[in-house]
Amino acid sequence: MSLMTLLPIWAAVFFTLAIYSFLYGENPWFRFAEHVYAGVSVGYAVAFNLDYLRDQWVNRWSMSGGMAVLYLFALAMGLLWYARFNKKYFFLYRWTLAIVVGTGIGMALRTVVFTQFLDQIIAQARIPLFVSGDPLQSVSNILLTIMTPCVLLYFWFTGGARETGPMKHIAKIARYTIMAGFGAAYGYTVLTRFSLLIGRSQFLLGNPPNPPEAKMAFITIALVMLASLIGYDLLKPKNI
Amino acid sequence: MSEKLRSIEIPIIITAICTLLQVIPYYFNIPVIDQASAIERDWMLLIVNMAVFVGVISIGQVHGRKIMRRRDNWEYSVVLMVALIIMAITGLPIESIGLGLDNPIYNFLFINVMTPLGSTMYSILAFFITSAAYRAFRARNIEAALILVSGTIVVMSNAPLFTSSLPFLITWKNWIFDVPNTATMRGVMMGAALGAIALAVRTLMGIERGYLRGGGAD
Repeated sequence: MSLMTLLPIWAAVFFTLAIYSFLYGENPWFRFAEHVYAGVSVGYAVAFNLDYLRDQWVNRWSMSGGMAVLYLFALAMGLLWYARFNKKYFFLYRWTLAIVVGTGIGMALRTVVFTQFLDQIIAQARIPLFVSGDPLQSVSNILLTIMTPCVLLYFWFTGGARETGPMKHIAKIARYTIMAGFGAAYGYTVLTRFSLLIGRSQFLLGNPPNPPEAKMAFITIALVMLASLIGYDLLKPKNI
Repeated sequence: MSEKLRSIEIPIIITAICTLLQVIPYYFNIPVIDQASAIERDWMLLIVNMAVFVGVISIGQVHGRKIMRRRDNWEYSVVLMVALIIMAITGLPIESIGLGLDNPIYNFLFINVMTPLGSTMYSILAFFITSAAYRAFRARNIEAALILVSGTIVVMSNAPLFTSSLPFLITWKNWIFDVPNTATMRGVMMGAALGAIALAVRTLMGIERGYLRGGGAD
């Protein structure tokens, strides 16, 4: 096996274990991996964004003189981001920010009103209360028809308003609904994290389709890392 | 003149124009405005991409100062800066000299360093989320019991160990997602939409100015 084949596998195993070493406690391996991650992530963003700007120029904006002027104007506006580092010209940074915020708000107003509001009301109104031949579905639909407005009202009325009149009962139904809903969402979040953990574990164990050489790298690096962590702990001056 | 350029009204007017340029074509069919709206959206992407060095400069300022003054753990700042510089330079879109997204060093760092680090960073949360679940999932009252029961059913229904002997767990999980979860998410979504619309209108009217703060003058 050549070095060029083994090096990527050993590097990936090293960085995976360096991050997991945090479970032992804050240590130099973890800090090293953490800083490498921050560095490569920012470097990646720089490369990716510059590549996007270049691709846009080559494939689209350089096609005509008018488009080229518009592109250069956008870049000039983009340069104003850097005015934030100079107190005297900070106001120019606000102009660029205003373009981005304004466009973002405009796009949100176009979409949010329909997808997150009107479409949800329509979907809720279309639920049939009774489904013939399916009493369980009917009960579920009735429950959904009661629960959704209760949750919405619960978010709407805060403080003392929840504790008086019919809102008292609505708040109770809403709380039960929200807790059951959030419990499910939490369960799903746990599952996704575990799914990633299983993926990393399979990589370390060299299970197919991962390279089998990872297993040897895992055992070697894990032993070296564990020994160094115990040594680091023993040699570290104790705070009394 | 300079004072007029500095006034807060200018960015508020720019915000309003940009917002209206996006909203108007959605309700009225005016081809010129529709075209301007599309160009504005593309512009925004270019402008946002141009902000990439803001983070680099900030990181450079923080870690550069740390290295210059030899503060605690400054060696890690060197590691960060070296990683950043190598990744950024090897990924520069100048293919004629061998740089760019196909550069072997860039690819090595992306595939064997960044990707494993990213997925490991997220996967390590499995340990902390489990510990948080142990503390949070205690049936002290009905609400806490509901979280416990629905969370446990969802987790168990995705594990073949349980579903092989208790297949009804899948039906229960589907019901939880179809009824209480849908009701909760729909309520949250509609509430958030109302909030977003209110914030957008406040910003459009120039009442909300929080995003323009900073720089010593408001």
